[in-house]
Amino acid sequence: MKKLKQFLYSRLPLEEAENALKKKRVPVHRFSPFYYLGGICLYLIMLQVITGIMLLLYYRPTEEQAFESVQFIMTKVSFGWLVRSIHSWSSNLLIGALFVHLFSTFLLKAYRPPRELTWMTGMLLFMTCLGLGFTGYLLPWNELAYSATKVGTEMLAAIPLIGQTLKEFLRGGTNVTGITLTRFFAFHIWVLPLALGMVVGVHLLLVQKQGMSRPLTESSGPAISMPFMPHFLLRDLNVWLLVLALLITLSFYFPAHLGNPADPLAPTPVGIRPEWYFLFMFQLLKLLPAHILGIEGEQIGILGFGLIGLLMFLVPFLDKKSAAGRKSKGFSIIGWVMIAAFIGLTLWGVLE
Amino acid sequence: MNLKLNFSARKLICFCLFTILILAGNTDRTFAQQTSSCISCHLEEVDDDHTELVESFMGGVHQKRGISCVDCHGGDASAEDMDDAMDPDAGYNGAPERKDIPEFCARCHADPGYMRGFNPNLSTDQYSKYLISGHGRLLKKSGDKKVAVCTSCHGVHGILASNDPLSPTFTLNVPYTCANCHSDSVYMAGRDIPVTQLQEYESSVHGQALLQKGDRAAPSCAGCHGSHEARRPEPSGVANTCAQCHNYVRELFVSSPHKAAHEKHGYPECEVCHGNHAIVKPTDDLLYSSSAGICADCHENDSDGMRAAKEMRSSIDFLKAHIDSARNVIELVRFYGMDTDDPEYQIRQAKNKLVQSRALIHTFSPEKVAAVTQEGSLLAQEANAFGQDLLKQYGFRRKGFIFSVIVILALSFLLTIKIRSLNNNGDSIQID
Amino acid sequence: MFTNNCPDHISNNDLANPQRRSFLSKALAAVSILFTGFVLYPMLQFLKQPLAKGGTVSRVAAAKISEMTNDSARIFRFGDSPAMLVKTPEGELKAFTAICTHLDCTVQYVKGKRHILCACHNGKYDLNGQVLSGPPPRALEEFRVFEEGEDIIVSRT
Repeated sequence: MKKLKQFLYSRLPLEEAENALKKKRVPVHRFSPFYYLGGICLYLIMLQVITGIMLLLYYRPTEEQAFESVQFIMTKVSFGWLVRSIHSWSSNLLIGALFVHLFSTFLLKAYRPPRELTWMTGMLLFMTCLGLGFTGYLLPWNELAYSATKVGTEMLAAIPLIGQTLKEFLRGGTNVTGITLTRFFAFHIWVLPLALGMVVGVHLLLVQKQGMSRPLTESSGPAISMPFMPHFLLRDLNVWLLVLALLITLSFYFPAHLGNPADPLAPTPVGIRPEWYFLFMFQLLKLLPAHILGIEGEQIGILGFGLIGLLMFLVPFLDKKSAAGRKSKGFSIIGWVMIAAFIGLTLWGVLE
Repeated sequence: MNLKLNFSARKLICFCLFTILILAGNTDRTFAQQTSSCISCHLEEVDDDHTELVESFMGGVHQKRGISCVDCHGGDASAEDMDDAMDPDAGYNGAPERKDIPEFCARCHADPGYMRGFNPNLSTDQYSKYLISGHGRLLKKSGDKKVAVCTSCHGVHGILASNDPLSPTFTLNVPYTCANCHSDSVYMAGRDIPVTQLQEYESSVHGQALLQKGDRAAPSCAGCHGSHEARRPEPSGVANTCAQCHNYVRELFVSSPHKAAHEKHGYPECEVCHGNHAIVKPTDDLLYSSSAGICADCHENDSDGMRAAKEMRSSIDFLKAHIDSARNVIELVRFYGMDTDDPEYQIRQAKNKLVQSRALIHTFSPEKVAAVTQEGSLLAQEANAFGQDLLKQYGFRRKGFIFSVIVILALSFLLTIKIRSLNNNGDSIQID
Repeated sequence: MFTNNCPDHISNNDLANPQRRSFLSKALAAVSILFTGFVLYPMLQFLKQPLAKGGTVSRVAAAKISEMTNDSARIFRFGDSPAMLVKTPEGELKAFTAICTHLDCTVQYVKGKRHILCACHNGKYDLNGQVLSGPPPRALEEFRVFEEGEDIIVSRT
């Protein structure tokens, strides 16, 4: 054992890594629990990878067989229901955790220099995960997924200039067909996870390099911290265990449903709506009038979301005050307004 | 006036073109039709009735087969002058009187040799059938002019083939066509037949299948009464009519003791229990129930017949109860997300037996019914056992779930203690 | 957890006791092993050969070619419902749903009589699935049949 350690340590930069981890400390203050969120997201991503690979052993990504293979997993494979339910539930929890992670980082202004890149890679990760959610939703090829994908890709067509092309690229044609399924499968299994893995690597590296950010509001008074190893790591593990318990409970009481197979000729089922994390967009687009200043309301909406996304991405460079180490009330208000709008619109969509 | 004439002239041209297009086959008859002065004059008439007459004729089956006005009405279609064209000396016979219409149509339709040139599959016995029908007999024997003649059902000039969905004799339209007269209480006044048949029929299994599901295999009025030969059926003929489709049940009935009894009393077999126009889906209550049951109409309480009915009902209830309980278990496990294909297959077979046993009621033999319900009950019990087995598997899931949560919470608890003990180590918290 | 981190709390806690701590480590190790077992069991079960063959419901191997003689038929399961594979007296293979269109009974093949019979009410279908006589309102749904190696495959599309 010792020899193996010596063998590895003399060949890999493991000692540096060990020292870095030993030196790493986590600030202690009243907002410290938000430091768990990054870890929770990482943990849920790992769960997604494991359960995803397991599902891949039985899933068949074709128009004829997708639904039946998922049905097969749910009914005939031992613990298939559990694996699929965990995959489905942890994707939902992951998106939820990402929202909290993103907004807490935003409100605590953790994007201040030198952590601009950490924030930007984080935004990329968020978008990638939304993409994974969107593509994964279609894979069971059931009625609901089929219609949601139709509506979702149709929305993209509202983007000026490239919208139509983008829609047809995603669908692999003018309609949602078996080609769309194969495409989404490729995105869900290869393209997006690869991107996710690489960006997660950079994100983590940056976190290691720069350490945890201490919020501006907590910088007065004594700076208390605790070692990452093992104090914080054990706490992380503990939270992960509780998340696992939550996942199992959700999966047992509310197993992932399957519904009826997709039928391209059937009318859109009533009550069709996207996954909850896209509801706020869906709802906001419904609110917009048909035409604003002669331009289609939907186009304005889509462009608006693009603009908000871009501004969010560039926030570290826009928030000059907090970059200078001063309190930035304006951005706090923007943050709270966005949270309120997101929760309000989502709740409205759910209750409607 | 000028305008009107122009309009009519244009119409004529359209019709001619239309006819040419349809009859591109270019037979002599077509040519005759085109040059017919009947059509040109009647179209020019200001009177709407005349133009309508020609228009409806144009879409009809006779026009399509190349029959012209003259073929039925006689006269000279080549004559320019109206009086010459409609000269009785030229064979013009005008519009037939209502009572003469059957013979009018029969001139061609009862002539197999002539009809063969148009449609070898069309029968030529309509007229002879009409003569024995209720309608025909009243017309001929009592001179009753209100009865249906050919045109009452088929229309006059624009007669459509009966496989044309717009035709009044298309299967889906037949009930309403008959009801034109038979549901009209004023028109039917003074006759001893009811006017509620359509209403009853619409509520029946047959009516719902035909009129709501559009299932043309279900009988319309003509399915049981015949069309040209339509009349009230004889009691002895009722069962044979039903047996056209329900042959198995009828066979069972014939082999039962009821057959002789019905013959003795002149009862119309099927109709006695199931009715005629308002045949609804039979329920098990029809067989026997504490309050009603059709058997009680003839059989005394405590008689052998009533006991048999009661026994058959209880056999069927026994099977239904088994199927229901199996289905309940299976619905529960399906709700839990278990695979229920196998037991559902068995339940389907048990339901087969239920349907079979209900058919076997017509043997009126409690033993024969019980034999099948027994088989069905066994199948349902197997399905039930399967469901119970799945329920056990679900229990295993449940236990696994509970224990795994306990293990996770225990681990988390120990970890919490461990974390607290680390805190107490002193070196953990550092004030920079 | 973080609220307990204040240095003031570091005081007379009996967990500082080394014996207690070794018990804690042992307990942690034991429960961790148990936990690993609870995680691995479902995973390994999942990887194991599934409870049933991985056939799909829209395509099923109904019979072996050698099993079917002319003028015979067999009922097989197609999803949760029965279906019928028929080999006509001329040797042609055909497949239909075995559910009578009248009241959902299972139909049967009548050897030598060139028809398919529903025994519940004597509904008869010809060897193309069309209604010959009796109460059935519609023809039997026909499936596609083809041979694949030793097997006769029936498929919905």
